[in-house]
Amino acid sequence: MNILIVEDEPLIARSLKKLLEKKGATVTWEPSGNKAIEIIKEHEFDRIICDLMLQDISGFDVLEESKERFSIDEIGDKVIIITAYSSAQVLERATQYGCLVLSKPFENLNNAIEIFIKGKESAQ
Amino acid sequence: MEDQNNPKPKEAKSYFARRIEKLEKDCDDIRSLRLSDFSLEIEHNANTFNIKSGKQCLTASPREFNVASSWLNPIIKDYKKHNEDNLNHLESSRKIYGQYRKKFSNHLKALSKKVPSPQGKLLQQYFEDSQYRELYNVIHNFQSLPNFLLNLEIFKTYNICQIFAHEKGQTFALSSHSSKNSKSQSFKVKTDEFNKLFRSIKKSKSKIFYQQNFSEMSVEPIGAFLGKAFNGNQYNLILLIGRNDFLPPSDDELEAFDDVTLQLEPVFNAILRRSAQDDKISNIIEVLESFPHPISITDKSDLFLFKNDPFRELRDHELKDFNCIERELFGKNILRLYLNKEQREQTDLYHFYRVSLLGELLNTLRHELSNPLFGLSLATNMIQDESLDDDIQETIDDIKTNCDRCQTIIKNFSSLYQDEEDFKNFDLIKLLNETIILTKSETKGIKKGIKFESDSLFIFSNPTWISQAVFNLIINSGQSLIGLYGNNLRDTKIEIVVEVQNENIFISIVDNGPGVSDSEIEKLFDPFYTTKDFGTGLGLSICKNLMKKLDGEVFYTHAPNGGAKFTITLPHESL
Repeated sequence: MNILIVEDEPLIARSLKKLLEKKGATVTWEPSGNKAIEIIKEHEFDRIICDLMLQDISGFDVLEESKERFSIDEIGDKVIIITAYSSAQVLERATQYGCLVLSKPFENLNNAIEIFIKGKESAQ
Repeated sequence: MEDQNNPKPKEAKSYFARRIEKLEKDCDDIRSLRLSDFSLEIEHNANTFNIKSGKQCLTASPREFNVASSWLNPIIKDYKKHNEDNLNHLESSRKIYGQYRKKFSNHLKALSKKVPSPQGKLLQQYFEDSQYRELYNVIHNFQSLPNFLLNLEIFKTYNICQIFAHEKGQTFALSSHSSKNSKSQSFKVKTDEFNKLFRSIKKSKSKIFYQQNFSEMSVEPIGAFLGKAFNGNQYNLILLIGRNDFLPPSDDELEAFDDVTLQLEPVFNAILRRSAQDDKISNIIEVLESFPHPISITDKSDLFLFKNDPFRELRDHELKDFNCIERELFGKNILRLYLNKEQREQTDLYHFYRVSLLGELLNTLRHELSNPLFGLSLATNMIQDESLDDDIQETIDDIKTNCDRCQTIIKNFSSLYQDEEDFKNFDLIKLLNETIILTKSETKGIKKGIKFESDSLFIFSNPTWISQAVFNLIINSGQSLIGLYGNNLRDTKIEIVVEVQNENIFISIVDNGPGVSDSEIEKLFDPFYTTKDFGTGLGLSICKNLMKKLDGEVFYTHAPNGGAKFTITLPHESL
């Protein structure tokens, strides 16, 4: 299982990375949105966990760019958005890509980790 | 010499005078840094200027001086900035200052080579003073810049000009281009693309570029073109100019381009700043147009510059029913806001300002604190799974608990001030507890407690308004207690007593302070009535208005122990 974490808060990214690695996943962490776009173009990932408020660009920009490589269905399956500001607009935009949005802080960490591993279908 | 024969028009002189003044001030500033072995002196009489640094001296005519000063300005600015940053670190300061001395003397050398040679002719052809002024004063938006540049004598052999501007922090850059005989066009460019172009132009030693090297970008000139990238404080700029053919520009043209762009840089930045300012002003005007109260803007001689609709509808004789609030705008115009004397609106407005400010503040805090806190909580979660000895486990549990507590506090506060008009079913006792926490810093050392027969009381109302009214009352009590007892607050207390009687809820804020004298009671809820040195006198009138909106009331009675007792009544409704 190959997972990419796009998140600029190191503490969150590193902890998530370790928690996911404990579940047997191979995890890549990238804080910059622009670099993440490059990485997505060159590597295979089963899951992409993407923050929205990155330092350089928005998480939605990353999604938009990955359209070159994936179909919209694939994006919805692969990408899970994590954000501290899940407003109505954010949710609406995420639905256009078919992506699941998890609000930070996660209400139940174990559930969140499970969703990251198994995909949005496992979310209740 | 030429200036003696053709005296300059008056404005031109004052224009130079202004520049000299500015430059002299800069020199003074540098001197005030007391770095003795670097000096910059400007001497001037009617027609010549001497610029001295150490043993070097450059004599120039006003026009040459103009060019020279535009070269000097960025250096001086840079120099000053570095020195300010480094003043405390003498070591590095010496180093930097050595570099600047060198840089400056190189510039002077280059300048003295260039300026006197064909008797200022070279410079003359670039920029007429009038054009320079036009650029400053007439070009108000960035879109018309390319066209203006193409019409300059110096650029007459070119037929396409494109400028990109990127305001730092924006997710897009603006491009505007114009070719001879056609209208200028603008479009947005992604920051990435802008940065790519900016970097390649900045890095390149040559100033000549070819379109085929930028095939994926929105570069308009065809074939060979000249390019220059400017690093500004607020903006990064790229200037491209070409002939739409493949013949590269000559060395002379290249040199001219170099010199002119040096002169253009500060002007570009000024224009962009102004254009941003204009946008801001038009936004403000839009807001003022839709403002519900009459607003006018006049200049100092009372000439109207702006009226919004409510003001236009206002008859002269009605003016006396309004209170007028005046504010100076940009130091030259006056904005007048007319508020109906019916006091409610004023306090509402003040309250609205205060709450929206607080809401914004809390939102910022939430943005900035939420992420790191979540990180902390995740990290502790991760360690919690490890088998650790009990002591460490306990500490980690503490960290986790406190992280979560911070998260909850932030969440509660921002939701408290989020939606003004939000009526809902909520637990009044919980809300009062949260409100007490909000007042903590203003009522430090005073015992506070809630008295109610049960742990919760669900009602249907507006939690934001109730919290704000109670907040004001607690703060008032706190201030009067601190006013009376100073730091000796051991026996002071503020109690919030909640009672339900028939269809009504009574929330009383009772303190054991000095209370309110009978003569003051009558005026207590009037707006702008205050007994405090720094009070606005609006707190209680805000409470009164908020309660009125909730079909409730607020009134004062003496507490049995002589203290103050403010009581809020609310209709008891719940879903």
